[in-house]
This record gives sequence, C-alpha cells and structure tokens, in this order.
Amino acid sequence: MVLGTIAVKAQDAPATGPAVVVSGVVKDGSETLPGASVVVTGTTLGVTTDVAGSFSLKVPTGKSITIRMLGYIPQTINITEAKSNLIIVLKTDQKMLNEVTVGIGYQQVSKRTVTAAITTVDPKTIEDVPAPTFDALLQGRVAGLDVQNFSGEPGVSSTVALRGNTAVARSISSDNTTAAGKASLARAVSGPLYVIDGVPQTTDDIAAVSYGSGTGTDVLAGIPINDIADIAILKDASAAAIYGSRGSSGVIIITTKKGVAGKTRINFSTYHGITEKPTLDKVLIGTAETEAKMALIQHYGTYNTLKDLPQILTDSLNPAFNNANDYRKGIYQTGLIDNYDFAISGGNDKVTYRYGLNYYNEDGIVKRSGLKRYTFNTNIGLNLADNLKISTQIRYYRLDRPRSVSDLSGGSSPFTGGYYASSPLPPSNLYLSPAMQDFIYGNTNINTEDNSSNSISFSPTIDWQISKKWSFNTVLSYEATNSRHDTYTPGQFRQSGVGYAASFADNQYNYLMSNTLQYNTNLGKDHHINVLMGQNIEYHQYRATDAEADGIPNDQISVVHVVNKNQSTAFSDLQENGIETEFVRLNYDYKGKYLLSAVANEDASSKFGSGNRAGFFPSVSAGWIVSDESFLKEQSSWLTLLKLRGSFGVTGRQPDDGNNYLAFNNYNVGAGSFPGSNTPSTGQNQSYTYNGVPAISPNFNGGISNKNLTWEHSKETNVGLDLTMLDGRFNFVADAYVKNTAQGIFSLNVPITTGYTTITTNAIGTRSKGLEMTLMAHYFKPTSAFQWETDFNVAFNKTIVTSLPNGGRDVQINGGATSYILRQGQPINQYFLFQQTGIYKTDADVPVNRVTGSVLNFYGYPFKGGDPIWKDQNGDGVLDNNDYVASGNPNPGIVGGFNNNFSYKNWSLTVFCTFTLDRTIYNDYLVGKLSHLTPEDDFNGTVYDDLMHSAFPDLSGIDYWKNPGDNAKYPSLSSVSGTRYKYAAISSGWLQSGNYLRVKTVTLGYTFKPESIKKLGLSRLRVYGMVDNLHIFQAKGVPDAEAVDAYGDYNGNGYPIPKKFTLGLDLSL
Amino acid sequence: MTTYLKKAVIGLSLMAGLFGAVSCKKILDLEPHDSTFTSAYFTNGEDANTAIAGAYALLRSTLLNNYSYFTYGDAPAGEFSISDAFYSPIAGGQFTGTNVSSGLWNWQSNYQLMQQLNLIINKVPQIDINKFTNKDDKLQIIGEAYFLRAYMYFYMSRVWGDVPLKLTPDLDLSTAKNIPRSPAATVLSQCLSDLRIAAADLKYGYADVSQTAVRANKGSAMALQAHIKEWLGDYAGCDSAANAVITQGGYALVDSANYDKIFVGKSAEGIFEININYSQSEGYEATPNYGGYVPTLSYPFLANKGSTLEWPLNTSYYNKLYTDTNDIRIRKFFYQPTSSAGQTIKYSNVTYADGSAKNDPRLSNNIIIFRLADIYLLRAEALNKLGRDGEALTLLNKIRTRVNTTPYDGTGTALATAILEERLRELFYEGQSYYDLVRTKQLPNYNLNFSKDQFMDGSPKGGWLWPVDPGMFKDDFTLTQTPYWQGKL
Repeated sequence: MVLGTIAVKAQDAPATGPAVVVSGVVKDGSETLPGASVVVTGTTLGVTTDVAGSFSLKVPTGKSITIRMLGYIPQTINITEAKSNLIIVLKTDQKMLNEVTVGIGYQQVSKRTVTAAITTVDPKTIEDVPAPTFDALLQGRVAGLDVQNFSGEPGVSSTVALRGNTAVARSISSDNTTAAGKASLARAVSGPLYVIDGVPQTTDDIAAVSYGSGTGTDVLAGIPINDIADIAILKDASAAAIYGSRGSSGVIIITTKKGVAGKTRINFSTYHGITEKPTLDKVLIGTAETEAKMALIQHYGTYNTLKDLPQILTDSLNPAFNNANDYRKGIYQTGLIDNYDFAISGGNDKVTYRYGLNYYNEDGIVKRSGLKRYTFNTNIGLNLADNLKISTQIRYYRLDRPRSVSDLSGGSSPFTGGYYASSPLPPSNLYLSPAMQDFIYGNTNINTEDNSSNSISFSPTIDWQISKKWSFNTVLSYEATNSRHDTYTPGQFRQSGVGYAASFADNQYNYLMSNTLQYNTNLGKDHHINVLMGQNIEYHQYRATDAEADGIPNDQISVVHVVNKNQSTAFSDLQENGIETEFVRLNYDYKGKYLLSAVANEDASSKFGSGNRAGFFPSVSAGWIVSDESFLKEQSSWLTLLKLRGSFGVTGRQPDDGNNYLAFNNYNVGAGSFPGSNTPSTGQNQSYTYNGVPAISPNFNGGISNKNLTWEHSKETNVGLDLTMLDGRFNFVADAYVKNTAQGIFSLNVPITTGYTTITTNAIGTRSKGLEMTLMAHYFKPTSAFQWETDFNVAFNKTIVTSLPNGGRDVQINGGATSYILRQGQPINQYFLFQQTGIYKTDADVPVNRVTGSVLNFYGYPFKGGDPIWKDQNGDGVLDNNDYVASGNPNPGIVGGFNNNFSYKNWSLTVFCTFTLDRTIYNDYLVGKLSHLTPEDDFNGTVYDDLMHSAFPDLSGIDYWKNPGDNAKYPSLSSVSGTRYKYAAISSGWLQSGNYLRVKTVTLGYTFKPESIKKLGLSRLRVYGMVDNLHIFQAKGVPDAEAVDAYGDYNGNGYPIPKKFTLGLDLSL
Repeated sequence: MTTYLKKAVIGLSLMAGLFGAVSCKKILDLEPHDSTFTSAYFTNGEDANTAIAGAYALLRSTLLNNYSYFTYGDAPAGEFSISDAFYSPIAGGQFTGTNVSSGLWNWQSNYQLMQQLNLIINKVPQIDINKFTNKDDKLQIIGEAYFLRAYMYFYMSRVWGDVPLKLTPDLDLSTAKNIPRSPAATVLSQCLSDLRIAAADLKYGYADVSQTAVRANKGSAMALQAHIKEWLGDYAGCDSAANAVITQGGYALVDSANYDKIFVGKSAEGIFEININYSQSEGYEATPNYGGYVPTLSYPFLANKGSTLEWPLNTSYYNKLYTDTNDIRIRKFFYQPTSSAGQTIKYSNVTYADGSAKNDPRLSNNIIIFRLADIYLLRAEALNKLGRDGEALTLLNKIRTRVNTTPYDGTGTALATAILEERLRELFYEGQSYYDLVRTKQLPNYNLNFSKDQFMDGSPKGGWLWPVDPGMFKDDFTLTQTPYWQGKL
C-alpha cells in the first residue's frame, strides 16, 4: 500500500490519451503464471491473469501497467498503443525466495535465518507414489533419515530412525508371528516424534507393545499424502529441543493444506495400477520333491540308515502322500491399486476453507490382505477481526486392513510358516481337502478377518495478533481413535475341529492444549529480537478390551461366544499418561547476518516418580551468513547464500516398554499359574487362585519400582553449512553431528534374591556420530527447454555403546533369530556368533583335544567331514558360548537417495533411487531353508523327521558338502552323520552384506499445455505412468535386502515388497 | 507503548489463567488401573488373605517348575529308569550336562516366593486388626508366612546346601543388593527360629475344613520342625516335635482301602499339601504331546497318551524293596510294576476336560509334602537313633500292618534299615526318598548309578548337592558355585 501511494504520486505527470486494449501472457521463463495481477499503474483498475496466464485490459495510452506476483520482481510497462500478444516474463525475486519460511515448532521462521539442522521435503515429490503411508515415502529423501520398508504389506509401519537408532533392549525377538516378537519389533527403533498441525502424535503401537495384539496398522496411514502441504524434519538438538523430552530421535513436522482466499479451486487426482505377484524362490513340488529327498538320503546313507525310511517318501501310491500342492502359487495374486483425491478450497477475506476427500484401496499380493482408506479432512479459517483468526481442523479417517488367512504379518493360523520363510512350508505331497485348500489359498469367505481403525480429531487454533509486537496462539486438540480386530477361524480348518473367535477393541483419547506468546522487537535498526514462550499439556488415555473363545462347535457363529469357560479369556485395560511442558525460545539476529537462537524446555511426565518427573532440555545455536559480508559481496553474481551454523542441545526420551507406571511396585492379580496350569488348546493359563482364594503377588517382570528413573538425555552437537549458488540452481547442505546419550533407558538385571528379573532404568550410554550431505542441482538455466535436476543425499552414521551397567560387562542378547552382543565401544546389537572359517573337507581334518584325546564335538556330536569349522577362540578344546565373537553390525552405516528429474517441454521423467550400505544382515532365510533338511535337535523321533515334514528348496547354486574332499561353502545335508547342529543359527557363515540400491520409482509424465485444455474448463491436466520398486541391486543370498527387520534379520516371514505399476491423472479446475 | 504494555499484560494474564485452569496435578499424578501396588495393597484382611494365597501359588509354581519337586526328591534316588533325555542323566547323579535344564539350577522362582513371604512378614503385622473380617486370620497368615519361609529355606538347603538368606522384602531398586550364600547351618537355624514364631502363631486343626492340609497349621509347623531336626541329627528334638504332631495334631492314618484318597488330598492323614484340583480350576494339565508333564503315567490312566512313559519304574529298585507280595501298596501304587513300563499311579485322579473325547486330561492330585505315615516313620528313625527301639518298632509296625505286611521285629542298625526301607516303600515318589537316602548316607547302596565318589558320604562337599546356574553369576560378583561342581560347568 505504501508503495502504491508513492507510485501514484510519481505517476501524475504524463498526460493520458484514449484507452486501448492490451492483452498478453505472463510467464516466468518456462511456465505461464495464472493469478498474477495486472493493474494500471497508480490505480486500482486491473485484472488477474487467468489459468493460462493470459490477460486483457483496457488502458489509457500514456499510462503504464504493473504486473505483480508474489515471489517475483514487479514489472512496469508503458502503454502507448494497443497490443494483443504481449509476453511478459517476470523475474523471480531472490530476496522473496529467501523469505521462504519453515516450521520449527510453534512458529514459522525464515529459512534463510534458521540456525538449526532442518530439512524440508516437498510433498509433491511423493504424492503420486502408490503407498498409503507418508513415513514410508520419506525413504531416501532426507539426509540422515533411515527408513526401511521391511514389509510390503500395505499400511504396516516402516522403521524410521533419525541419525542412528539408540533404542537398546536386553531381550529382542524377530518372530513377528508371536506376541513377544510383535512387541519387540514395535519398539526396535527409536522413532521420531511426528507433529501434525501442531499436535504431537502418539504413534506407539500400544496394543503391540503391551499385548502383542491389535490391528498392527500404522496410524500415519490415516493421513493422505495429497493433504500434506509441507514436511519439515528437525534433526539436531537445537531444532528438536522445543519438543524436549521427545525430541532425541528427531521431529517430523507435518503441515496439512489450508484454504487460500481467492477463486474456488477444485483439484482432482487419481491413479490406478497393479501390484505384481512376486518372483518366488523355486520349491520342488510333488514327485520332484520326493525324488530330491530320496536322492539326498541315498547319497549320504548306509544300509543301517536306509532300512527304515519314512512312508511318506517311499509310498508313492498312497493318496495321502502323492499330491503336489504348490502352496505359494495359490497364495499370491496380482492386486489392484486405486486412489482418488478430491479437494476443494477457496474463500475470501473473512472465511477460508479447504475440504479434502480421499479413497485409497490397495490389494495385497497375498490374497485377502490389503488396505482401504477413507478420509475426510477439513480446515476452516475465520478471520474474526484483522488481528484475530480462528481456524478449525477436523479430520476423520477409517482404515480397513484385512490380513490374509495365512497372515504373514503375524498372528496364528492353522497354516503357519511363511513363503520365503525360515520356518518351512509343509511338504507338497500331503493331502489337502478342497475346503482346506480354499481356506489356505484365501479363496473362501467363511472365516472372518476384520481389522479396522477409525479416528476423528478436532483441532481449533486461535491466532491473535495483539499488537505489532505481541502475538498469542492457542492450539486445542482432541483426538479419538478406536480400532478393532475381529477374527473367526472355522472348526473345519482346525485340528481340534472346533471354531475359534477373537475380538480385540481399543480406544485411544488424546487431549492437547498449547499456548504460546510471541514478542518481536528491534533494538535500533540492526538488532532483531523474537521471544516465544509457551506451555503444552497433553493427556492420553488408552482402553482396550479383548475376548477370545475356543471350542465353538458351529461355524455359523462367527463372534466370540463362550461355550467352554476354560477355553475362553477376556481382559480389559486402562492406561493413562500425561505430559506438561513449558518452554521459551529466543531468536536474535544482528543485521540479519549474525544469528543466535536458544531454547529452554522443561517437561514433566506422569511416567516417572514424583521426584524425577521434570526434565530440563536447553539448547543454543548460532549462524553466520557469510555471503552477506562485504568481502563476499563481489561474488554475489554466483554466490547466493553461504551460511555456517553450529548448535548444541539436550533432548530426551521416555521409556517405551508400554509400562506407564514405572514408579509403582506393581502386583500381579490372579497370580495362581504354575507349570501345567495352561489349557493346552489355547495355551492360556486357567489357574488364578490357590485353594479357591485369588492369588496376588508382585509382578516379578519389571514390577519393582525405580524411584530414580528419569528421562533419557541426549546431548548433541551439530555443525552445518548451507551453500546456494547461481540464484538457487545449486544447493549444498552439509551437517556433522555427535550425539551422546547418557542415562539411556535400559533394563537392568536385578539380583536374583529379589525375585525380580529386570528393571527399567537409566543404565546405558550410546554415541552416534555422523555426517549428512544434500546436493540439489538444476544443471540448466531456467530459460532452457530441457531441464535436468538432481537431488542427492547421503548420510553416514555410526552408533556405539559407550557405557553399560555392572561395570561395563558385555550384555549378550538372546531371543532373536540369533545372538547379539552389547559391548562398550562397539556398535549396538552386533551379531555374536561362532566364527566359521570353512567346512571340514574330511573326517581327518577335525582337530583332536590333546587332553582328552577325543575329536572336537558340539553338544556331544563329534564333528565330521562336511561339518562347519567353528573356531575354538579360547583354545580350550570345547566349543561353547565362550567362543562366540562379535561378528558384524546390523545397523546401516550409510543411507541415502537420489532423484533425477528430466523435463522437456511437456514431458517429464523422474527416476528416484534409494540406497543402504555398510550393513551386515543375517540370512535366517537360508538357514531355515537348509536346516530343515537335517535333524535340528536331539529329540526327534527319527533323524528324517525334519526332512519329511518340510518342503524341499531348489538346491541348485547352493554349494553344499557332498563327498569327502569337497571344498564346499555350506555344510553337508546329511541327516545321519556329523553334528546335528551344522545348520544352527549360531554361525557367522550366515552373515552377508545387506547393501542395496533400489530403483524406487520411475515416473513418466505429460502435462498438457494450459491453452489446449482451456476449452475443457481445466487449468491443469497431467497424466503419468509410474513404476514403484522397479529393481533392486544387491548381493546374492536373500530375495530382498530391504525386507530385513531392525535387528538385521531376514527370515522371509515378512510380506514381500511388491513391484507396482500405476497410471495417474491429475487435474485442476 | 503503553497500549502495547497493556495488551501484553492482558495476554500474559490470559495465559496464566489458562495455565491455572489445566495445569493441575491430575495430568501427572496417575495411578495404575490394571494392578494394585505396594502403598495401596496390604491395607486390610482381604489383602493379607490374597497375599498368602499368592505365596502358596508361588510355592506351587516353584515345586512344579521343571517338575523340580520330584526331580530333586525322587529322580536321583533311583526309583525310575528315566527314558526322557532331559531327566535321565539326573538319575545317575549327572546334575549338569547339556540336556539338564538350567532352570533346575536357578533360584529365580524360589526367591520370588521369598519376596512374597518377606512382604507378608513385613506388611501384614502393620494392618489394623479391625480390618480383618475374621480376627484370627491376622496371626494365622503371619504364622503361615513364617512356616513357608522356613519350609522353602529347608527345601533349598537340602538341594544346594548353602543359599543366600534373604529376610527382608525389596521395595525399591536401591535396596536390591547381591548377597552371598550363607552356610547351611545358618540357614537351618534361621528355619528353626522362623518355625518357633510359626508354631506360636498357628493352631492345630482347621476352623475352615476347606483349608485342610493345603494351608499350614501348627501340625505342619511341627512336622517341618521334626524334619529339620532329623536332618540336623537332633534326634531328641525330632522325637519331641514328631510326638507333638502325632499326639496333638488330630491326624489319623487312612485305611489302606482308601490309599488313593491320600493322594487326592485333604485326607485325615494329610499334614501339609499343595492344592491341585481341577474342580477349583487348579488342575494339572496332563495332555500328551502338549507339554503337561506326567511322566509316570500312560495308557490306560491317560487314555490318549499311548505307550510313551518318560519315567518307568526302575524294576531292580522295585524288586529290592517290595519283596512282600502281600503288600497292599503294590497294587495301590503301581501298574504292571515288573514290566519294563511299570507305571506309578499314586497321582492318577484324572478328569477329562473335554469329556468323552479324552484329549484334555487334568490331574487333581495334591502334592503331598508331609503326612502322618511320614511323621510316624520319621519319629521311628529318631527313636532308633536314641536307642528307644521298642517305641520305634510300634510306630513302624503301625505302618506295616496297615498295608498287610508282617510286623517287623529287630533292633539297632537292622531296625534302622527296616525303617529306611519302609520309608522308601511308603513314601515312594513323594519327593522324600532322595533326602532320606542322603540323610541316612545310604544313597549309593540303593541308587547303584550314583557313585560313592560323588556322594562323599553325604559331606557338604559332595556332588549330592546341586550346582547353581552359571547364568546367575552374570551380574553377581558375590555368588560362588557349589563346591563339588566348581569347574564342572
């Protein structure tokens, strides 16, 4: 306005002539600019450009017109005569671009002056990718953010770790078919805090952690990617400290799209495609299987071992044994994906609005699995006065995620075992009734598998600009989420012949209120001060109800119906926790060049005892915009921005083991169980009393209180550099950090005489060090018709254990697929195994114990030719636990991604790749595949038990020991000689490189020229085709080096990551 | 500027108001809803009652953990020719080795019971007597806790010798310290002092008959005292305690026709038992192939188990002891005892949870810890040692005549052997025989697979004591291995 008045004064001199019509197009070099204002200079007379960027205006000759658009330098053109095809090219305003803001929690600041390590992701780059969850799509987009989509099942959480995983547990499990495994995997990685529209989200899968049940659906799957306006990742402590207690693993801030005043805009986009059936490893079927098994037996056999062969292998005439079931072929399918997004937005100076609707449907590649999402998202802003605005966000979603009959993502079924799985398939030649086949292959609807979540949230926000210097903001939020998991397995498919029903329901309520007050002032011309202070209160309540009944005699019933009280269970639960935060942040700069920011945050959590609730999380950061210094001014032709940053701060983490009441000595009510008190059919305890009196005793697993338990504290130092060249065509960001976590949350073994096993305590220290780099390049000038952009990022991270309880003694972790170790100075969860140096070529190669004169043995089985050579590290002649060595790091050392975008005129081609390097993975899949061909333990009835009860893998390409003298890679497959444990999960022979490079998405798009679609009433029309998960480059061994869990284990139990092909359409009115 | 200030003040006061409205302690002072906790528990009689039930339940769990009551008390006595690979080495005194479950060396469940008992002993006396519906309960529950603590330390000391003495509850991590093993003599003298309190607090008989034998009373305490004194070689002490049980306890020998009732439990003969009863939903799962461990039974007592029998009778042990074919116990205790698959059927009171399908058998047989016949013979043993053979013979022959065997007439060491063998016959598979053979130093004579070198004539250095779990040493610098087993695991 001020500029306008000045312009008016300046313009009153020239005389004006008759009005003429001026028309033309406004462009920014390559694209036309709709919505630019074209006004007769010095007046309010004017128009805005239409969707094609064109305008037409009557102008008196002698006057001039001014063309303005946000982010561009205004241009004024004198009009002397009528013109019909003016082409006006607006130049981008670098200064304005620098004013791009970024959300840092409770406030937006200029990206130019931010002193913390913050990365933003343009949601446009991920919105076309056919996947329901945005966290999965952040993979490879942000330096330092390690996302592993280890399951291809739609709607299942990915593991997300920022700057290295620091979650360390004493006991872990990789078995996602058990409650313990689900709980362990749900908290395997110290995931970041998600803040959506100012509201911190509870993403803990409480049901999985506390009961090993629930729906297993990622709550973030409820946010359609098309509704996201902005994603910011706060990486260092100075950025995350405002979310103090929960910021130690980073913060991901999501802002959803809001209504914009102006013309009503309607956007519609849709894509459709297929998910491809995976290429599976070969398994021998029918006669081929029997022949291969017989060949193996005969090769290693002798008369004594051949005379009692199992009937299933010899009786090929028996109809029970001469079948050829191809289990995997029946289970997998090619599925469909459909997505529809519809949004309408607009408003005026009083009201702005946006409504978004989304429907997403993805069929799983395992029959009957998949995900359906329905969302409704609305944001209404009311400008009550010039300085008072109330906006309300209402969000609803429903997710339906039926899991397959064979439920690869967990749960029990009559047909256990996976399809790549280490727990093997049954032999193909067993008889299967047609009904059973239909059930296993997911071709019947007689069983029930309903898994759904509903969530509704209301969040009003009040913005009050009290004065020029003071402003006040309040966010209120209420969210209610409920989910259900209902199953019924008909009796006809169960060994017991009776049906089993289970019903799990939970409700989660989250309330939040935060208030902030901001003060802005300048001291003189050069000192700019901004102070933010505020508080935040959150309360979470969780309720769950579960009922299960076994022994249902009639399959018409499909709900929980108790017919036998001893075969039914029920429980309900109520958990609460709360958090109170007070914080203050100071931003100061001198001449916009020397920048300083400091945050102090105090959090109190209900999870701790009253003396230890509060945690103090301060941080400080500073920046220097070097390019603004006079000595670099002359370089400004190419040097747009050079900024150096440094920060130090403290952030925290709460215990995440699902226990909200760690300050209490908990008791176990109904503690009447004893070995032998379980009901065999369900495995449930049925004794809760002693002589009829309810028994109560301490909860010996973690129930002892620890009054001193408090927040985990991480101290992080970060230095960074931001470099922008050639008006933003080249951008380079580098950050280096060291994060020291002291008082890390860890379970401590307590003395045995207490009766307790472990206690949650602050007992471990870790250190993460790393380097992150991001490079963005636009190789050609904006005026060029051909454009090539590269966006590359890479992060190096190493996290080690710096201190352990009990004087730093090693902690050996069992319970996973294999053994792991925590050792001071070493990476967390290193594999702890026998070092395998080869395979004994002959019996004579096995060493002899010089003291006893007997050959080396393991569990009483002497080694023979064909057995693995495990190194006796301490040379005591005995192979045991003491000979295990730390053998490799399951945590990725290097992760990153690169995106190349080529465009020429209307065409664009995008190729996006992600990579993970410097990771050792454990090939449990191969162990499983081969180990079931040999006896596994001492107690099998016959040595051929495993061989006859398991499917037979294709052994071609597997170099196993066959005859004395063979220099083989893998041990012999003999069931009758050598150690029974040659394929046990205790050997470094099963480790391999987990490096991979995945060509994640390739997209080819065509955007129609606005002129050509104008007559259709459209402002934008784009069509594209995309391939997701096109190809993976990796070492041989496992089918997919990404489908590896957080403990580095590939067991094949997971859901294969499918290739997807989609065609999409994106249009705006 | 003043208007700004005014607005600032308004803003701040508004904010303060909001703080005040919501920032109450409600959000942070949250108590568990899914369980009770120390400061909320132990406030009334019902709490004391459920806590003592919890203690008995923990004892039951401990005794059945790895089938340990019988694994310690019977397997190494040589009563069975065990075929189960997990247990077969134990019969020959191999308490280590890869197949022996380390759970048998571990104290976790034992000290869970100790924590519970120490909590009761610490907390129940503080509960106001008026908070008890039945005012007698308070003293009884405290007495039971002292009895159970004495029993568990005696039990542990017979298995491991020296064990850590833990006499106070741990209420917070800060009190949880590793404590070294106390000498067996100290442990047993602690047992006796606990028992003095128990005997003072408890009464003979049962006001509530449903508690018969499955809850401790004064008779149980005196029976335990007799056992500990006999173990310590205090025969006079044993005699007087056993005499109190016999004369004041109100117990009676069950007629031999009803022998099986003794092992169902709560019989007139029962002094201390652990409740296992399907009708109270406290049955013992005996499902073949599903893990319920009932190693001395198979078909026909478990209809669908087939012929698998993990602990068949040791025929040479049987032939040595059950020489009198008129002995009623032969058919009451055994099924086809002379075959290679002799079953011991003392505990065979099976109910099938799934009716006629018979796939889900549940046992309802209490674990019999002390009974009158045991105390008769224990006292007889003491009297023999005290030179009062006549009185000893009377007691011995009460047991012999009940089972239709001829009265014994002998003296001195011959009588001692007769009493021991009568105990071995009468208390077969009741978790007693191994300790009887150790106490009388006769183990290698009856279990020929247990070497004399390992037994060391019952010395505390001998391998008749069990090793402790090396896993417990991980974070404990005070713990030492049982002498015989040092360097052997």
